Amino acid sequence: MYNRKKSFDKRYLFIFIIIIISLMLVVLSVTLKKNRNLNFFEKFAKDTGMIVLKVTYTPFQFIRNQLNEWHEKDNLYEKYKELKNNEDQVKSVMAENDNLKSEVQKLKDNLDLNSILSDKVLLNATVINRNISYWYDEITIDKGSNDGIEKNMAVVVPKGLIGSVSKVSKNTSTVKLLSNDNMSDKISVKIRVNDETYVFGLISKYDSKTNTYTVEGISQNIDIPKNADVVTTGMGDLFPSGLQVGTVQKVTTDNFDLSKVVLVKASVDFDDLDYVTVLKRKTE
Amino acid sequence: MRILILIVSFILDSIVSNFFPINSLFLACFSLMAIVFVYPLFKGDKKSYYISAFCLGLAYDLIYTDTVIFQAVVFLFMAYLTTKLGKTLSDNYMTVIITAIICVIIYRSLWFFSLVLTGNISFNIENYFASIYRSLILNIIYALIISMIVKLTNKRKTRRSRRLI
Repeated sequence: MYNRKKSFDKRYLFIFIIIIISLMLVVLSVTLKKNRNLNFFEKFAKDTGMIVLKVTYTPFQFIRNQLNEWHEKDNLYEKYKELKNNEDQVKSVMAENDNLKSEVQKLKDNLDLNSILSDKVLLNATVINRNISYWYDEITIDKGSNDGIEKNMAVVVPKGLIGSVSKVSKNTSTVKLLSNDNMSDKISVKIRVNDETYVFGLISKYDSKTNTYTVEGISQNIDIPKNADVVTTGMGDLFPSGLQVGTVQKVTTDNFDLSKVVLVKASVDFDDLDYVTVLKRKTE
Repeated sequence: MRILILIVSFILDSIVSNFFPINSLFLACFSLMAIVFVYPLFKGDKKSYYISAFCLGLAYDLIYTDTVIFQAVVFLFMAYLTTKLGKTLSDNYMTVIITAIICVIIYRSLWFFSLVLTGNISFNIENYFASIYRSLILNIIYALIISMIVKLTNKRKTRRSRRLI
């Protein structure tokens, strides 16, 4: 009788474990949904935890900055020479930029537009955490809804686009990086073939080994030069137009020879992210 | 002491993540290592050990991974395994290394297959193995450090209790 009872209990234990595992998977699936907002309790825990982490990280960050500074001082003379060579170019580019700005403003006035796709407001932030959970490449920054950050805002570094804000609490935000191998958002980009011609495509995946994106969906029969700039188009909800994504490394065709597949070298080093800038579209 | 080790490991997880690149060979799971190797300091008090594991997992959920309960249950499961393994394994450094490797493999596998089953990532065996071998070096070193601290703490406690007797 004892044995019968024991086997009966074991059977129920097995069913109980199966139910627990299923529930866990359902909860995980729901909590990792892209559109989920953090609840009050999660926001409170995250904000409090991040304050502690920020305080403890500050001395380490100071040491790190000092080391970087010291390392940069080593190459100071070479950098000075390089900047000196570029000085004349900078002046002409700035003059061109001013000219373009005034032209854009005139066109906006003529067309009675309040904002255009490339209009954006900048918010600077410091990275507190990086990639704690290995599977989804994310960083946590020290700015949140109190600073005007909202979900889906684009995040950049001086070299180009790095990702978008995926979760926001009062004082911190989580940024989903483009280096995520399973990037579910197809990002619309345009490749600058020459001064007047652009070809449009979608980023379909990222390869962390080579730091390259694959751009697909290019049906135009135009020769795409190597090292051509790749920027965002501003179409879709996520990113404003004109954000640097990378440069063309290689052009191939798909399996059916119907469209072009372009390998784009990312302009950003995802391993070196200390300070970032969050962009907000003026239209939002 | 045990709570201090757990809190320090939790904070170190965040600090170390800022120093090593995303695709480096030094990925930290210090909180997990701490919960596994701090068990001798609980002196067989399984209840408080399980509660500590659950709370640490919950903090990991809320602050680091934006999940709910998942890490808490995984940490609880790892704590349960530790109590079972603790009965059979000795406490030399070779055992510590083997236990650390087993823990990293179990933890990464649970995480990976759960995310694959829920459709959050696609099945890629190369990524799965990379996540394991990238986590080994740093966590083995950390496991050895914690087990050394635990041994020293236990020795001191034993000496004190002998003096009192």
